[in-house]
Amino acid sequence: MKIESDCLETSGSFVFIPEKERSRHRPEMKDKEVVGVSQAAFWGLIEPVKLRLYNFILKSLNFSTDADDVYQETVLHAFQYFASFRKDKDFRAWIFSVAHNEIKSHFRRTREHTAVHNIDSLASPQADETGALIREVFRFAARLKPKEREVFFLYYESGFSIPEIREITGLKEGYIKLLLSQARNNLKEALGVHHG
Amino acid sequence: MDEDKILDKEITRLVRSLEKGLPLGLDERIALEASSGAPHRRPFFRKWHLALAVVPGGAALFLALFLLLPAFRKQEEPQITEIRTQFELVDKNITIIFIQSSDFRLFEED
Repeated sequence: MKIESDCLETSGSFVFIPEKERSRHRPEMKDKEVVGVSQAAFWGLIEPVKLRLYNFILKSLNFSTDADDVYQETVLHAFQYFASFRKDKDFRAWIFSVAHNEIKSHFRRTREHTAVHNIDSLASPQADETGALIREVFRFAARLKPKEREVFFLYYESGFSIPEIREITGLKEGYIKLLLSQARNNLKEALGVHHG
Repeated sequence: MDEDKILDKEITRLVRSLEKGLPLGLDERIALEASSGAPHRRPFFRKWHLALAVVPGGAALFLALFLLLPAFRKQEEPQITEIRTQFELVDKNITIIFIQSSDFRLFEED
């Protein structure tokens, strides 16, 4: 999903116009309007990813109520630094790396692992076998260290590939693979027990 | 490898089956703060944490000043209040001591 930052909304779709040529395309456009367009582009870009972003933060923070604050900080920081977003980069990966930094500073600030939410109440609508499996997965994730949990949810919740996770978190690919492999092994056993 | 893919698919399904929507009003609150143009303020609980840091910070500063100030304070020059001159006549086993002090009252009667 590659979307450019300097884009103009034209009939519902975004068209990239390089900075140099912007004035040529719209010579009447003043600085304020350019900022306005850029801001509009930001809200347009975030719209399709915000639910995934929120759920990633929420799950990385073990369903803590602090997730709302971290999400808010993420969006506001991303908005503030949107000008630094490189056009050749994937917006989704970029905003998730902003979220990664916010989560990291949250854990640094609180200096403790966020209290684990009552996992049993989370999957209550599904009281059947699937509900038990969901609880098993989230119980496993809650036991992980914050960094490991982030990798786990970037892969399984947000659907990023290993190279993308490397780009977002700055971790080495080998380490990411190891973490995912350990998660698989642990869950294979846990899920296997429930599959009976 | 195939087993891993199957397991990945199953874990993804389970993880994503629990999805929460954005809390009501959160989007509006963010948009409002972003549109205000001012650099956004941190939520209250973070400022509260910062306020806590002021207490040990202030104490450390006070302690540093308390310890360092005497080192910078100008020391008073010692005042000579008394001069003693001592002679010893060893062979006669006599010691003579002249004492000069500021409050020595010469030719004054008690």
